[in-house]
Amino acid sequence: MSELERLLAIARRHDPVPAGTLVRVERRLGDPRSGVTWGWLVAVSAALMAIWAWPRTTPPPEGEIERGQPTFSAERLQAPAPIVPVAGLEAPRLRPVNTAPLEPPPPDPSTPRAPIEQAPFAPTASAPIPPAPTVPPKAGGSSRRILGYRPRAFRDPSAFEWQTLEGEDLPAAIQAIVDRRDPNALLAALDPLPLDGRALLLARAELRAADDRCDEAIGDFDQVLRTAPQEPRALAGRAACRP
Amino acid sequence: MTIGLIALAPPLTWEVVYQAYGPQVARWAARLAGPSEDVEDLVHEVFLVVEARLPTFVGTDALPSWLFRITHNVVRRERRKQRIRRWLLGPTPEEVAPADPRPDPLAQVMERQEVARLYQAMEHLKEPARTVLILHELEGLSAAEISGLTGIAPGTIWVQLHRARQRLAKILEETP
Repeated sequence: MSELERLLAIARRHDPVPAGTLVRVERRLGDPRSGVTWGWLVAVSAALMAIWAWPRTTPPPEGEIERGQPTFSAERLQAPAPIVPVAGLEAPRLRPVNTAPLEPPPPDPSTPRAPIEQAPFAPTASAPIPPAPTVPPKAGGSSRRILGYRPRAFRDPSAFEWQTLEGEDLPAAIQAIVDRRDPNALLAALDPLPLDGRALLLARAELRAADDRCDEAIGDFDQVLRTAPQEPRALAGRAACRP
Repeated sequence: MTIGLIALAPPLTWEVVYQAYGPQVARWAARLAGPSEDVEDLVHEVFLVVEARLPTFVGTDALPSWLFRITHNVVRRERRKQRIRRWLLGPTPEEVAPADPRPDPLAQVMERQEVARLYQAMEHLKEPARTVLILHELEGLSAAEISGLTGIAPGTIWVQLHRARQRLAKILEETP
């Protein structure tokens, strides 16, 4: 074994992250004092400078020049400065300015303009929103039947088949939860969403079924079966959830 | 994927990213930086950047490769600072024999010194070759996985890997 191979083997065995690092980092990130960045420093400096430069409301003592006020006096401004003639400098020749009011340009006969018709305003009649279909409540499938259908995954939610979501085009937040392998977080995230993707619908249906919420799971399974009538996971799940 | 689903999906916060990818980022940072850098500071710095830039993350890129790029940039910046410090002040005692917070058997100290020697030799490699070598040899990633993280073409990865191994072996022979 060469020296390089030996050192690489040692480095591979060596755990690079000391124990407790992640806990300490999480604590530091949660601490608002650790978020003091250059932006905060600049903002505080700007605020201090603004306070310093703000004009004082109290008049300054006699003889002191107020900050921000000109140091020259009004008397000096009133006295005209002496005019010193400059040799070779002529006054510019100015043309008289036409002060007559401007008239609009004549209309171009080659491009006739269509009269603008103003449509009468009328509020758009909004279509009545159809009432949500009321599904008659069904009795949920018994836990025993569900356990018989998919014992491992339904008895232990952590045994959820994550590989069914691999390769799917998921939103970043959902993908992060999938990478975290947390079925409860995934169910909580998917519950309020109007899903139409098959993989996520099936995932939600199975997680709902595992959570003993067969009435809602059946809705998801049915939605999948409308687009894919032979989907085996949906068929099996709906069969297990039927009372 | 409907637009509505993306809009209604739960917001991606740094806490979610940290829970999902914190250990992975820590491993990347530790491997890329070597034993002379403080992993805790690096990971903290990475997630401060993540927190600041998360609102601009639009999801057109994969989250892991986005995180890897941030980690890589943070580590590279820290290593540059470390190089300047070393050039000005000379190597610190910690770099020669890094401290080990665990109970201190002799074997562990020796092991850390060997790892430090490997990383010192890798300082002579160019940045892309060093990154590729670390990800392949120490993290065990395939060329396709490295390509996904770094954006380097798989063919180029094999070439860089081969050259990095040759150069590293030569450096280790010259500096026993």
